[in-house]
Amino acid sequence: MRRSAVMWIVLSVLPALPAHAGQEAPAPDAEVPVPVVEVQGLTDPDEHSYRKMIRGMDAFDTYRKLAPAGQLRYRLIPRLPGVRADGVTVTVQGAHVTLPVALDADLAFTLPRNAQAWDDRARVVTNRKDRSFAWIADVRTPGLPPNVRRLGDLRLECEIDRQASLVSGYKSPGYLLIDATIDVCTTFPGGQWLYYGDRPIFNVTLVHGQRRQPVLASKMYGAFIPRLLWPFYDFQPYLLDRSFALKVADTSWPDDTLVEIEAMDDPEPVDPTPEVPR
Amino acid sequence: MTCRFTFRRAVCALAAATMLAGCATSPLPGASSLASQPPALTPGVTTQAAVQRALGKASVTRFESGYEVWVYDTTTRLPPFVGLVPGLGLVAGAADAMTRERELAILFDREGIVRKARLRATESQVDRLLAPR
Repeated sequence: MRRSAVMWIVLSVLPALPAHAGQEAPAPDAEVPVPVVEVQGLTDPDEHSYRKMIRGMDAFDTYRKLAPAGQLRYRLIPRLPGVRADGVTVTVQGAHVTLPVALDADLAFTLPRNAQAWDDRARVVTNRKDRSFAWIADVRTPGLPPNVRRLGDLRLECEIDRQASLVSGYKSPGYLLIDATIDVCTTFPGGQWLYYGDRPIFNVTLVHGQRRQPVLASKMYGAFIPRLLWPFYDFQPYLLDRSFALKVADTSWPDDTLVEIEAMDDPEPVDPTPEVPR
Repeated sequence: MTCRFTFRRAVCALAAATMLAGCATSPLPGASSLASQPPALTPGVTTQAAVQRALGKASVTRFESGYEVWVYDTTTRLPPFVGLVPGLGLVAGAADAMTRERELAILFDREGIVRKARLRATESQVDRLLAPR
């Protein structure tokens, strides 16, 4: 689709080239009609359903007790080589409405609630091609260090994503059945969810008071998903080193548990205590 | 066994855990060599070849950045069929509930030199049940 669109533009422009090549340059003040080729957007842009994202915002309100001070933004994480972060735009596009969306420096944004966009079944559209980004819900409680997340925030992200369906991946019939009958984010004992660090990660540790527990390698770097299914997931290949899974529904860890994330390029602690539970 | 450096101490702890596991079945061949020849993992110095000589084959994850994470898993696990043997099932279940999963994770940079290493151990099911809420 996209290739044929590009070819169409090339073929439309090509006949004009030889004509201009053989002519002298017109005087600067001459009024020469200039052919304009307008490209409204990609034919296969990276986009998402506006309604689903609004439902995700509804889930944020519904499950707010998980993160009473949390703030929600949606965020785009470039997941392909050569995807330029600068110049990215996001727009809500419906049949009768177009709403520009302001992007923060980290490609995060909040969506306006708009009845017309809802009725139009609008799309939230980027100016990059399909699957350029991992789309995530990002809930942050203010006041935490950049390398520390709060488990309740992550549980809330899980609840939002159940509605917004941002995290791409294979969802088996078994998962869909469980998801329809029980809350996989806070109740289902085996419930685990995929997350991304802000940078490539080396260690993830749950901390609550004196209790500490590291996340094992079997829950990091995509190891929690059969390799055969990796192509369906956004972490493949460039976000693999940022991916980890948490058993978010393990109620032995309260919502105010801290999740410490050590990046690969963080300086080594002076005394890197082995991550052994106390 | 005296351990001076932090990483060596971590590996020693892992080695001790391996030795203590009487009927251990080590999932990786390198796990057994931790007991006999614990390497000194010095960030910026130790090479992949040295680690492999000392610990054997690891479970390796390679990234597009050129970095690699090697993992040595030394968790003691009973064979799955033990749980089906009459009388042993209960014992096996109790042993399983008290088992902590352990691993040594080593991060290598693009040049194959150790950047970081960390010993990790999870709680057992018993630990989790006894954890303060």
